[in-house]
Amino acid sequence: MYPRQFSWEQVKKFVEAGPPGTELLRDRLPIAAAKGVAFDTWVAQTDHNDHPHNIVFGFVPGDASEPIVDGDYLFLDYAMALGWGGGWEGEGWNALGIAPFPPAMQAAIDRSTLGGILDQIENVSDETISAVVNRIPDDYLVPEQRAVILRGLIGRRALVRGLLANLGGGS
Amino acid sequence: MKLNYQQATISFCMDLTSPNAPSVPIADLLVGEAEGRQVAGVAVIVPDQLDAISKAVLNDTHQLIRKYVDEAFQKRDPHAPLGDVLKRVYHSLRNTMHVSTISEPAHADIASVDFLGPTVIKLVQQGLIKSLADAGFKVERALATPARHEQPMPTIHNVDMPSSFLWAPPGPDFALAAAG
Repeated sequence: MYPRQFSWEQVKKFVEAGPPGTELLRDRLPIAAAKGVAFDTWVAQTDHNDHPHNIVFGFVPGDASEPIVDGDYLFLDYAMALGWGGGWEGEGWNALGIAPFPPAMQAAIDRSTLGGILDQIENVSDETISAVVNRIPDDYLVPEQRAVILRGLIGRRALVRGLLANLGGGS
Repeated sequence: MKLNYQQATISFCMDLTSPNAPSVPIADLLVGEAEGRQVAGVAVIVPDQLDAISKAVLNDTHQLIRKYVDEAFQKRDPHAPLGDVLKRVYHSLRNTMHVSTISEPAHADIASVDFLGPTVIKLVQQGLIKSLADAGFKVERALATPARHEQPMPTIHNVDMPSSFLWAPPGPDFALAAAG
């Protein structure tokens, strides 16, 4: 993980403009935003709407010749996703819309990247989804909930592109 | 008049991936009350050898902390301890910047309200300088040099005199307090 990390609240004021040396905050935003909104919409993450702490920017500080080596936005805390609170019970997984997302991120989405991410989501096989969900022990995810999450992920997989087609912002 | 106050040290972890990485004090926060007046102050220092992103964030530290403190005072039961305000800051700084210590509640006798601001500024400046000294730095008026360490601390050698900010947080907002 990254040696230095600041919360979205700490860096978001620099995503439109910032002092010299903060360009990485802007350079990494369009692709990270595209990945984030697509994944969040698929898994119905409801807790990234300009949340001060659930998105962080992590980076590797360098030296004088290369002050910042690498960095990216990280999306945290998926406790309120995957139909939490009964949202995916019955056919509920089918009703939820675009994941709430920070406006400054939504405005920066790279549409080309978004298309590629949607391709990747649609190409995740039922078997892969099942393998991921089924590896969670019963003590942490009871079988009834596992079935609900499986239905939701498999069902929503084909809906994400349509949901995001009407998403504003980005280029 | 009597100033009841409590202080917290805010530090900067040089490397979150290393359990042995140094944590450098960068701010001292004080929240206090004196005869119904609420007061807060923060002294901040921005080490000159940090990367540009960290500097940009640190230069904004006082505004961020003020936001947390003001929100906490607004939501706070007037009879709740001042430590509740500091807890709000503690829970809001979770990454490279973090609350490293919260001191015990303390008090100071002040001759008159005219000395309230200067006393707070003095306390936060002293608090930050002490935290820096405990971490191996000595703050001087122009530039600081490492102290009490034979080897300089990595990355940060020089620090400027801290900048200080003083304000009067808002009183309780009962609608906000009821909303939690």
